Amino acid sequence: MLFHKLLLCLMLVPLMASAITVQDDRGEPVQLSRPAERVASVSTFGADLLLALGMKPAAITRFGPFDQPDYLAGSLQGVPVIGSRSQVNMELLSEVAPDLVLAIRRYTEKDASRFAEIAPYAALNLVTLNDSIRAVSIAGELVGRTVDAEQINRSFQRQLETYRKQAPGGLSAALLVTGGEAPFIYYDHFLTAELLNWLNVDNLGGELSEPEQGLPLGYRIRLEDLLKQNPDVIFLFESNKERAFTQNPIWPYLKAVRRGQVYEVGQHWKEAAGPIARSLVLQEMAHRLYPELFTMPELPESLRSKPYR
Amino acid sequence: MNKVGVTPAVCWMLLPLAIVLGLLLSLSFGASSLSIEQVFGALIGNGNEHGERVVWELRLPRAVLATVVGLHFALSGCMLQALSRNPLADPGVLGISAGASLLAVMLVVGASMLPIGTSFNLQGDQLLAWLPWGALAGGILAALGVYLLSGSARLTPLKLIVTGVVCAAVLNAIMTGVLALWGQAHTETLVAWLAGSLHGRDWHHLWVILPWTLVGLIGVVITLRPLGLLRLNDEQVLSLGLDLGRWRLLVLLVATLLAASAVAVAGPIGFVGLVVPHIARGLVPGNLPHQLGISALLGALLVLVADLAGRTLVVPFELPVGVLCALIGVPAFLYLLKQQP
Amino acid sequence: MAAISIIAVVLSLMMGAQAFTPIDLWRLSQGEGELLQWILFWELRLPRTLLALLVGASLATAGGLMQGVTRNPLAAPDLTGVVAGAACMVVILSTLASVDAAWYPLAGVAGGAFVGVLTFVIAWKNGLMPVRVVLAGVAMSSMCVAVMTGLLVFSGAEAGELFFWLAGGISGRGWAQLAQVIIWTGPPLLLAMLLVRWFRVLLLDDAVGRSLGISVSRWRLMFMLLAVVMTAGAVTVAGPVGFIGLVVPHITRQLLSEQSVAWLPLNAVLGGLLLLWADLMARLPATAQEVPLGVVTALLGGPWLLLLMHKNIRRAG
Repeated sequence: MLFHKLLLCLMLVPLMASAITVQDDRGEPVQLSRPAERVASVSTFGADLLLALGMKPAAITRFGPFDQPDYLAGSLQGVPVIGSRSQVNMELLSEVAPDLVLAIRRYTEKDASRFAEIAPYAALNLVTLNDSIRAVSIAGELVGRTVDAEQINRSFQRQLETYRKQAPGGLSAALLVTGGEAPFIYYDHFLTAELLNWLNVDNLGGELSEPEQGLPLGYRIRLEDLLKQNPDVIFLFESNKERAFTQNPIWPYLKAVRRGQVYEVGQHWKEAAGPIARSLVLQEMAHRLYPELFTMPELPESLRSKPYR
Repeated sequence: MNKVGVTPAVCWMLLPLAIVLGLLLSLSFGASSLSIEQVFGALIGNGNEHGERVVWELRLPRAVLATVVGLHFALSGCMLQALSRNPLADPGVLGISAGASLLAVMLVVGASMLPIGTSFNLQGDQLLAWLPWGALAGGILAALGVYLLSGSARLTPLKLIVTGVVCAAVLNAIMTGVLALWGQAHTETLVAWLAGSLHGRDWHHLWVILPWTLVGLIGVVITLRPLGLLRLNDEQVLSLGLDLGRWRLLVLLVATLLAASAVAVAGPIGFVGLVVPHIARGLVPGNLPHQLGISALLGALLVLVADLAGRTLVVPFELPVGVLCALIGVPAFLYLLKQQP
Repeated sequence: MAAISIIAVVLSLMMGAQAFTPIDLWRLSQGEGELLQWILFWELRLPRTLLALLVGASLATAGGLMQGVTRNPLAAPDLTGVVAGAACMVVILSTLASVDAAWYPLAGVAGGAFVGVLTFVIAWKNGLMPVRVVLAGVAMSSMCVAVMTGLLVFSGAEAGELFFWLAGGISGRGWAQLAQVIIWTGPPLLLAMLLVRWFRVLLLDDAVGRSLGISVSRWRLMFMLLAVVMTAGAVTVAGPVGFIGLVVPHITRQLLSEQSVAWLPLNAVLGGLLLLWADLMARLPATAQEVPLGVVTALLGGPWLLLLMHKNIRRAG
């Protein structure tokens, strides 16, 4: 009798241990009764992490209808697209019937209750390097692969340290996103800019004293001011329109432009929080900054960084 | 007397049927494919969770809201066209939509700049919950401004139109300026709102607008007879003993409330108020009460169909309903304008 | 008049994110001074000033021509849908296709002409009543704006950039853009000035023109075409800037009779100066992104227009 009770208790323990509660970036508890298997990834982060763990998301989002497939496209054949990261099609989300939703906080927090009706909703900041590391842990725990997720984080930390030791430094760079006449430049705390710092490169965006939720990500800078600081390398983020500020008469006077050190980079640089993306960006960035020391990683042609004009 | 040979009675019978049909179609079609049995099952409470959610939480409130919004815009346009004795007037032309949009933009941009905003955790996009009230206030203020600038009690239809057009341009310019200088972070969400969209609208928005529907309908009934008379020229009206100034103000008020409350929940959707009254006038010329009613029904139908199309044409993405109304409305408008005597 | 212009030009060269003093300006014109200042002066300030003058002159002339030949004080490139049409075509091309930027002016002209013609066709009802034209123009402009907004929404994160171009501005435009504008607005401007004799005839009643043996409708079409081309050239580089074409001719009419030979040139000069002032004001706020030019012209032109309307309407009874 006692033996049977003991057996029952022993069987219950794993059942209880499977119930997962994690705090997301809002500080809200995300509760699952067992590890998530069908994850709706509202943003590329979720899909990225799942693929790194050898899983596949149940649904993904794209940037927009005029969009090119991103760096994960090859592995995501057959995964339904349910809208864009800021405007999710709720009907399709409901149809997919996920058991977890991973989303970017600043775009989707207002609809939190609607997401929560369909599946447990985890809001992630995904702005800084710390956000990325924490997000990998959180998501890893939610899919029941805590150990593997920690392993992913640790290996990335090691990669960062290796690169830091090897990078000679002494360069400055700017990350520019199209913003009409005045381009938008990212602050230090933005993930991609933090990677610059790890490579001993000075990010001209500068520091922001008190980011709230990591916002704002950056600011608009006049080309005259950019000329004063004159970065050695410029990385231009993806745009579907001709960049107005490159028509500005000041543009050809920039050191980086004269030396041909302006590179157009793939879309994944904008949202590099996923484990695959952040490693790729680090490697590609290092290659562009110090071409003799680091080699270009494996990437399909459409996603490689290219010298601008 | 009726050129088209359509009696009002026929319209009154067909249009509601068309709307009901439209509603049923809206429930049955969308991004997610549901079979008729699933839809029916969800309606009578017998469906699965997904079906019930899609029908009751997503499609039904949105479809009903589309009809209500369409009704508002069409009625408002009809009244404004009668008031200004000009077939080319509507809430957008007269600056009401522009005023509503401006205040809405200022609210979103301003709150995220002030310390208060962040302490209420109203970071950027959360503020969308407050937009309806801002838009409502903005529309009313804009209408008030246009009214005063056109001479208040001494307002003439011509002055009203011209003042309205200029005010609309100025308000739009200010809104663009505010967005350019301070609204960098919110452009993505605000531009979607400014196009006129019903994405993500649910029962909450419906409860916001329905009281105004009631107010508006009562207002229409009260001003019905004077409105018919206001279409005559000023001397005739005065000789009939009508207090021109007061009734003009009241009509403008009712039209503004209808338009502003619709902009508050759906953003500025154009062309409904412009085109639909034309069609109504073509169907039942000379009969204002019927024109108003048929405008309301037609407007509801137009926005309902436009929203359905916007939801289903580029799945999984959506075309804003404002864009579709323009695409449907403008060719119709051009055709009608040339047909008119 | 000349004094005002010179002051305006000098101020324009002085002001901006980095202000120059007159002494700096003198040194720069002699070829000395720091590299950065030199770049700013020669590559940005100077062409921008010239561009403002040229764009203002084109828009004012286009407005003056339209108002004159249609005898409609409310006709103008922005209120008849020409500006919106030109902008819409450029937006469609740049968003949906990756067409070489050299095609934009042509597209702008095509779009502007198309929409402008439509406006007049719609508004025609036994003649062209001013208010009908305005409202038809507003309707057509709204449609173009709706199409552009639709494309904006699909640009996602790029929406902001397009949105601000739609508000108009000449920041960051240099010699290359100036050259583009000169090609498309220079000849029409010159042509309009040379053809002033026919313009003056069209200002009078049609019967007078016919009695003089002039094909009234053909010349009207010619001037409208010049107006559209000028507008499109200006809009392609500066974005849709409104109110200049509408308001400036009214001001010129206060100063000089329309029949005077010097009317068109004066109108052009005034337009250029006014846009230069507007651009100066757009540069005033010390933010990285300047105030869009269209916003300034609307804020200046709107109230002025209201005043004008009230005076006219009161006079008309």
